[in-house]
Amino acid sequence: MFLIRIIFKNLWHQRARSILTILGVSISIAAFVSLRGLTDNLENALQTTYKARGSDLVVMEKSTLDIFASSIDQKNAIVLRTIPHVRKIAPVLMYYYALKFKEYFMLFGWEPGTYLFEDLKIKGDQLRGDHDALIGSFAAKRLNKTVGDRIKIRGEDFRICGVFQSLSMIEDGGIILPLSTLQKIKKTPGKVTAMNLRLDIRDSVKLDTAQRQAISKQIQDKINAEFPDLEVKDVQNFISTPFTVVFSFTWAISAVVFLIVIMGIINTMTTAVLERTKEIGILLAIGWRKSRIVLMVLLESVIYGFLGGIIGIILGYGMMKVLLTFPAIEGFIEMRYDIIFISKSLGLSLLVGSLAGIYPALKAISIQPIEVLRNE
Amino acid sequence: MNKSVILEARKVVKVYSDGHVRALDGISLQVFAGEILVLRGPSGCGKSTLMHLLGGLDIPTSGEVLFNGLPIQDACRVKGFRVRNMGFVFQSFYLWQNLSVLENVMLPLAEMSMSRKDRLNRVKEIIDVVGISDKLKASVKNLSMGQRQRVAVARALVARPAVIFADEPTGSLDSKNTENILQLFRRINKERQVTIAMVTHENVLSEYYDRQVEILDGKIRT
Repeated sequence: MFLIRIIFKNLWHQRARSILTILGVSISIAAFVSLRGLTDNLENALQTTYKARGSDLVVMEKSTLDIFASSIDQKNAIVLRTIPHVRKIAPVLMYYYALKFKEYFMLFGWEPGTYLFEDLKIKGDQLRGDHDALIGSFAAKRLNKTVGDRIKIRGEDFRICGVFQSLSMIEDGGIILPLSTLQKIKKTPGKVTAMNLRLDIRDSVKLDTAQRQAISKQIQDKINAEFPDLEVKDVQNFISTPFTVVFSFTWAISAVVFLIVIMGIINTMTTAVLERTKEIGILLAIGWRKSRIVLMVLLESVIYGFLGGIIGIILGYGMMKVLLTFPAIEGFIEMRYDIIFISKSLGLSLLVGSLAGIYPALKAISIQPIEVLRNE
Repeated sequence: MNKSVILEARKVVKVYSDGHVRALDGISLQVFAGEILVLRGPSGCGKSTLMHLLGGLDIPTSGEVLFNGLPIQDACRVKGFRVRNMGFVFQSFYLWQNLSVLENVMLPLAEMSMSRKDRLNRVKEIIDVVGISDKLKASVKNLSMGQRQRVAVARALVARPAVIFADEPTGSLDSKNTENILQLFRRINKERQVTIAMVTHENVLSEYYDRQVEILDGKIRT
């Protein structure tokens, strides 16, 4: 406790420098939290979308980076339906489209009658006509529309037959049109983005998780073998794949930011050590062990990381909240506070603090008491 | 009274790395337990160098320094040896300016296994001995020079070391504070049987020391 007290007094002694250093750490952690938080939340939103629809497997075009780039033939559904354990198939067409200037909405093309509609809470009617549209509650709010209103999509006039609520933020911020209509609008007749499969093993009480996974794996292998142009994944994996590139990108940006911050803390701590050369020399002279000096300098550096981390996480979530109001992404990503992600971010800031403290700590124990005294 | 030797320098030579300055030239000296020894001489005579060697802060070019018969460099490698056996007082005090009197005095105790309460009691006791109890929580920045040196003495004493090394302890003080510090050393020496090795270039009244050694040009003047 005494050591901690000394450290805080040291930080307080050079308040301006300490605040600036903590601010530097905060900004970097905030950048990491907001960048990574957005991608994490987007991934989560997509996962929720698929889980909310009760899909087990997703079939899409092989080797495409993300689902939006996928385009497959709707006729594949006929063969896929014959595969054992495949109970239901729901083709989906997805189209990211700006209904107003820079205000993007996700348009979903769903075949009426498929299982995708099962859990939607709809106020109004189901899709019945070619030019009926079901609008998500968040999209309705953004567009200020309600049941019975009309909406223009790529020059075509649609009647809003119902407003639905979904567990998925992406769906809630989107619009569902009949599949054939969206295919016409998008000028991709007979093409869909993906096929969602529901298996008959999902509710089987006779099977445990391992057995279900084994059967799911067999089905995936069979589809992958029979359809060279298609790729099938379970919902979890399918969502993660395209994000690996995005994650690498956010990590790369974060790494550069962290490097700058580490250099900043090293600079602050080295200056502090050099300023305290006499005091550290005397501590060594009166019998302080080098390990205690190292601990003192490292802890001081870690405290910069810790305080910067706490402020950075708060700032990062604030930034994320602001970013989520931007028209280009509004309605796609839900703000979510993930304790694991927060802990990881804090851990990362502590790591940054620790790494930055190594050089100044070594510098501190290289001080020779005799040199200090000789200069008296 | 047959006094035991606590510190001994045997034919100690110290040549600084550039090879041109021979600070100590074969000095042999014994320091007896419980005495106040004054090492006196003009500036640059090598008295501080001798004190640094006796305190294990520097290594002699040749010769050896023994603490209770053991080579001091070996003894200093033992965990807690320095803090339990040696206290240092310097002309420039070397206090941590951003810490209070209490925290400065407590610094050596960080190396000792003691409860917080025991540490606090020990510090209060020593601060009382040096006569600045009313300044316990004051920042050392706000103290007079004399008071600062008392803090430094308290810091040197708090771990109850066997020897206190004082390098020009009165060099920054006026005559009144000089006398006060010397009286304090004498009182501590008598009450606590602490050995004190004091370096000074000034004349010290004989009542404040037991033995004086004159140093000149790196040698003991006989």
